[in-house]
Amino acid sequence: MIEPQDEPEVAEAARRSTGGSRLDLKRARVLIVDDNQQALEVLAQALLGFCVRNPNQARSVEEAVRLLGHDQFDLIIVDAEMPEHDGFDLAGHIRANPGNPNFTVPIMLLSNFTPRHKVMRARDAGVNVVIAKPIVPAVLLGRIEWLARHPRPFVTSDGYCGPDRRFKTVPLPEGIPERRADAMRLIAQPERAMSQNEIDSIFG
Amino acid sequence: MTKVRIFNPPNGLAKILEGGEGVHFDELVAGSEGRIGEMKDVLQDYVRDQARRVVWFGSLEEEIIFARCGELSQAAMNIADVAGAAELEQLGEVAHGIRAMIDSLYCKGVWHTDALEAHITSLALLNSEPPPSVKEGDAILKRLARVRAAIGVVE
Repeated sequence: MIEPQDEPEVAEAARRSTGGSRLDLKRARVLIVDDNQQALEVLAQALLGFCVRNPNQARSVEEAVRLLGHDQFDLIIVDAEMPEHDGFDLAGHIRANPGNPNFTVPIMLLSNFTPRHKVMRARDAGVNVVIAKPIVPAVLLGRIEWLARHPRPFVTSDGYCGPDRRFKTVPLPEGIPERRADAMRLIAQPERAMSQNEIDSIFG
Repeated sequence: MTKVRIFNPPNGLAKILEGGEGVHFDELVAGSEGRIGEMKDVLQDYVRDQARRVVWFGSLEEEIIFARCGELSQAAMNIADVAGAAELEQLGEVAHGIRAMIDSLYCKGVWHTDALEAHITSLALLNSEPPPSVKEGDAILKRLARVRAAIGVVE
């Protein structure tokens, strides 16, 4: 049985993968969406700690859609589980409007329940990255940097709009363990919640 | 015939890699952790309040709990969302179990009142003053995990 990876190990892996990089997030325009005010505040404080200036906040998909109508963002971070309309709905809305300036914006989905079917649903909705809650700042920043360094081509078709989902076959950086093997073993028990590394392997 | 277009969109995040004013990754993480740490007291109050709400649900009739399980799940999720930042991980773990059981109800029709009661009682116990020791709390969490596994709850 594969055990979900401990948070400190994920955080440490995220730190190792950066190779001691320097980042300047002051000018990054970020929209965060969560119905839970406390969770939204935790996320806002995490981003402020990364030196993001005034992350835009929305408590519902409807509020987020209003902001998306007149502002352009570099990144959207949205909670998967919300009453009425949820993070999947927001991703679907964004990817269904080619005329919107945020049509291709990277979308990061946060979820405290990550079985394989949910991760796949997120990927099919055009989400770029899924992050398992609770939020670990090192993991969050690591994924933001990954999105910045490895932009994906964008695909539009009748059945799918979102980042190119094909895997890139590049050698793994030194010190980073192979993750696909975990994903293959996971197929034997697809309903268990996936660890952060397993989720990453789905997104390439 | 389906028309497919593949293109390279503008990368708005590229700007975070540019310029000479960048801050080291570890410093940014430390800044973030520090800010979240300053919220600990507020988050603890919130988590304990939500835990009391879950326990209140547990005092209702079984039919009412069943009918309002969406609200119960939401309260449990509220706890699980921020319990880590509040440094109340054990409460978060029990809340996660409650949410998983209700999610299994939606997905598979799995519903066990006794198991739910055991979780809610455990949540009340872990939220009491003084709380059980860490070792006792860990033992509770292990037993609850076994209960969930036994009744086929997906986690």
